[in-house]
Amino acid sequence: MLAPPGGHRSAHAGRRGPVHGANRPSARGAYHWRVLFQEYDPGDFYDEMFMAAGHPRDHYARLYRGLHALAPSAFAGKAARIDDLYRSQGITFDHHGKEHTFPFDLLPRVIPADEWAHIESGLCQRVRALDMFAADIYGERRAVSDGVVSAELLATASGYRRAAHAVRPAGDRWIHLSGIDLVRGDDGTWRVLEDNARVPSGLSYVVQNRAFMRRIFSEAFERQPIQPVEHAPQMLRDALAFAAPGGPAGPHIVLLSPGPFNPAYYEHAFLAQQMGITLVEGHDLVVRDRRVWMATTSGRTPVDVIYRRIDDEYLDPVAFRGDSLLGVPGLMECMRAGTVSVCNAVGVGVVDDKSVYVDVPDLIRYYLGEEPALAQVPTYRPDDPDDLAIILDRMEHLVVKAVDGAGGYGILIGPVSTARERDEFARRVRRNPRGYIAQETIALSRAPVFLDGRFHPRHVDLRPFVAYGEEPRVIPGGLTRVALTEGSLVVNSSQGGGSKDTWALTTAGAARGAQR
Amino acid sequence: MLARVAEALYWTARNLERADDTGRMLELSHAFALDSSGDPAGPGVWMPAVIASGGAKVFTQNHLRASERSVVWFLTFSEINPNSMRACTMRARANARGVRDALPPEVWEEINSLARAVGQWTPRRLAHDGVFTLCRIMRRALHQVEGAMDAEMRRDEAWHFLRIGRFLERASTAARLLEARWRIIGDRAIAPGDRVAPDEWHALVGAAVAPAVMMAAAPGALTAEAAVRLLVADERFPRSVRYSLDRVEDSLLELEAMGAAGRRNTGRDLVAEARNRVYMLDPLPVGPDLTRFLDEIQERCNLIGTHIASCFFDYRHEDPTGHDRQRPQAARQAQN
Amino acid sequence: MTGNALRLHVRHRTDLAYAGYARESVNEARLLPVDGPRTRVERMRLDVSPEAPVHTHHDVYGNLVAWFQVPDQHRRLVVESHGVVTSCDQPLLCCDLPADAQWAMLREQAFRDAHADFLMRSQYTEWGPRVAALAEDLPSPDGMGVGDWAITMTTAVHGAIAYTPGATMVDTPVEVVASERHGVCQDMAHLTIALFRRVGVPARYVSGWLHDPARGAPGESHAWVEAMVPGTGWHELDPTHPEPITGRWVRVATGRDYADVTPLRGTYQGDPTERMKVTVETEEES
Repeated sequence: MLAPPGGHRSAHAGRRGPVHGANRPSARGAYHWRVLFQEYDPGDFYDEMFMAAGHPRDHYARLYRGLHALAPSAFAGKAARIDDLYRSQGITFDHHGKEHTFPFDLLPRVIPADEWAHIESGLCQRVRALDMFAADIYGERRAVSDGVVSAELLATASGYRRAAHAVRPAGDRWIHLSGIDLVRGDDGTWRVLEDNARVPSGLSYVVQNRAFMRRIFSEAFERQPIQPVEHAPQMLRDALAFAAPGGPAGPHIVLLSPGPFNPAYYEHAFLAQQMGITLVEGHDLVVRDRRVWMATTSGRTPVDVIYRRIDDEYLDPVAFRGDSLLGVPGLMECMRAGTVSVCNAVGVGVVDDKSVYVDVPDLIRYYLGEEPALAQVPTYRPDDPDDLAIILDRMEHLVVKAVDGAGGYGILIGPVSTARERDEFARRVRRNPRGYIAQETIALSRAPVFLDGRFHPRHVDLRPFVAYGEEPRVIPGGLTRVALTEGSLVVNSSQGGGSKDTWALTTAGAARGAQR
Repeated sequence: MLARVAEALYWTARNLERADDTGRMLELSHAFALDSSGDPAGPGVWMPAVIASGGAKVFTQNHLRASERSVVWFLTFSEINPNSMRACTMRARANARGVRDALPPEVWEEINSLARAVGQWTPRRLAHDGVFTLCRIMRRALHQVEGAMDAEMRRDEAWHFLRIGRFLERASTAARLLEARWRIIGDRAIAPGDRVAPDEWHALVGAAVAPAVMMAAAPGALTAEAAVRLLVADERFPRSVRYSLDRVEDSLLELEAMGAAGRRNTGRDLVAEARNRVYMLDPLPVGPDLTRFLDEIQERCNLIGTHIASCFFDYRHEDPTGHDRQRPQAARQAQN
Repeated sequence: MTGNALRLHVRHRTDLAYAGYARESVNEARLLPVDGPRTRVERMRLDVSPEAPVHTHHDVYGNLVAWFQVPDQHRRLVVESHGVVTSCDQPLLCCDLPADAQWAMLREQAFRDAHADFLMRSQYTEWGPRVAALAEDLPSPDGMGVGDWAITMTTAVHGAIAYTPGATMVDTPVEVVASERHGVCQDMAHLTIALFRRVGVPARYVSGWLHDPARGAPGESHAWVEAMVPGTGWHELDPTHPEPITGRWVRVATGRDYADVTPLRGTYQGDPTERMKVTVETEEES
């Protein structure tokens, strides 16, 4: 999808046929592509596609050659058609009252098999540890008594829910779906940027992006050994079924959504439909005899598993916020009674706290006896006096974030900040050290994005998803998010971000799964 | 299916049908907008349209006269009329939006586009483009919606609730429309065998069955009774009361067969009773007898609607007075 | 248990009347005491009218929580907790650690970790500049041990805040209490807790019943505080009645603040609450 105004023009024209301006058709078609990429300068950042200008990395080589056969106007036309598809199917998110599509860039982001294997095993390791951590802090708290993590840190985490101490989730599984955000720095190393266990979103885009790519850009897939993502909803469903209390065969699973006015409603509806489960809102459910029941035309049906896309605070007005109309009164008691499983479990939000993130490598060592396979971004905690000194001294080189911020707001990006902004953040940090962390700025890798009729490098990150039932399973690829504004590091959908289809390759020549 | 979803689909269909029927009533009144002497038609033509829409009380509270201008506005975009075409369309959209994933994308898209289009109309445009244009837009959009539903939807619970909503509304409104149309022609005491002029035929029946067709079948066919029979008792004419009730009954039967009602009484017997009233009435009444009969049909439809709601939608033991709010318990208990 | 033991028959009754009907009522009550150093529960039960099964569990603070649901339509809800409890005097405060060692211990990470919940700002104890300003007017530690200072502060809060029923609401912030200087026991408890926590003394909220035979109606619902004195343990203090805690103070629940010990909370659907009456009866049994 083409964000700047010029992009709109060529997209619109693309629908109708030959375009004006830079993209003159066919006589110079084959040259054009090279010309478009010839101006593409990877610069000093790690470029996902190019080792150097005009020299694609091995895993992009086939794609690069294949693109030469495509006239630029055709490429622009395809981009416009995908946007149309998103729009006409109502795949939009709501931002400040208007419906926006999440801009989609047609050039996939490719990850070679060996790198993916490394990411995959690192993610499985991390999610195992995080899950054990959740079980532990709402249980025996060994990590606290053994000094791995401080009780004060946990007590002051906004996601920490004291009510969760009385609940033992089935199979002791707490984190059924997580999105672990990864970034790659200029040395090419993958690092974990943050953990999202509370209510991770974006899985629908992973599936939908791939489906649309196959429809509109099927030629790109030729002879590419890509791991399929079509079964991602099934993987999630399996994880949810694992959570069913007492293991009834064929548990009744529902997806609890705040409803159509929630910005992510499209995703709720899509995932429910793909998983073959009922999409419900709070008032479709009622508690009777400490069980959860769903109101249907033929009466009440018992519910076994709730995949909830509602925050803890709003889940049960008796246990949490009394003014919530989104939840189910008495739901916590049903959890305590063990008659229903809620996924992800109440209280896992403590894992998302960016200050808790600092301890995760130690937690991996503690729970698994292993060294963390995935590196993290060096992070400082203001409530440590030494760290605070570093933060205040080096703020223009650091990224300062609120520990429970979401969506990219409340962030100071040191290198592009003004002195005034830094003063303001310094004030906030001093006043509320527990509420902030600071990280070294990572020169995020970049990838080519099609804007204004040619490719430009833009910063990207990656959100792979992990479904954890019996075992953690990583959904191949994940969501590559793109910061569409030049130089911007902010990739969130609500702030001008976009996405790409992500190809996790299998070992060359041994394509796993069907390629249609 | 979820009771809430079934209810939303039902009301989506009812609201769309209501908007369509209001449009048909308007078109008809508009066709008689000039009386026989060429003067603009008076309340005799316009008031029946208001009455048919069920808004007589609200209208008379807010307007001095039933004229083309006041009535057209009242029935199309007026804010004070909860059953204006705009209000019905917006409600349909709101209902559908909440259950979008139960509808084929084309259906939602059509409803959404229609609501957007109707939402953009101003009094100026109405005056400029005329009410026929609006009614045509509405008709076409609704044909698209119905067409998409029929072509794309599996005949499951969702489809049947849409159908029940559409046809129950149609049955109820058909009765009212016929009554109103009768008034437009004039309050003459008409005997069943009385001949009806082609333009009067058109006023009663609309464009569906051309007078020529009737007359070709039998020379003396254009009678008052024939018109009433077509609109009330014809089992093949899709806008008749009989046809509509038959479809409601079919769908309730299907829902029972699908186990959608559990073991509850769906009200199918009430529908059968109403249909039988239509079926067994011979000869069909006209004049004041007709009015009484049509009132009875409407009441029966209301009863059926209430019964359907309590059978399928009564998931919250909903309190219709609206005192039904979630409240905190013991909010003010402070300690000493 | 040491000291005098008071054996009490207690009845705590909440009577709610609705302007019309209520239904789909789901509630949690923290009205059942648990055994502890000062408390022994002989027998205690919670009854609900209209009749409903009551399910109990212990929350993270060890409070006994009673959960019940009344789905059907009702005009009135009565929740009654009653039984026999033995409540003892609190031993006098004594501490072997010298004063500066006590204050030093407050700063140790292990100590802070052990009492993390009771050192943080909680929903009703978000202290700020006004509490700080009030603290200026109140005694500073000045060589006293933590416990002695806590006792002194408790008396000082009692003097600084005018006991004024009706002036505050159930959710009046502690900053407002500090600036307006009036409130009831709940407000004084919150303020005292804030004053303790802001200097690193862990403090928690205690809800319970006060048996006062000198009054006409001997029982009342009451709130006081507990401070963690290094080297000694939790020590109860009452800013509303700054005197040594005896068996007359019957503990029911404890937590960070009122939100953690709310006697009765929940939701229902229907008409507003017309009237709420809470009566507490306490009677000494031999």
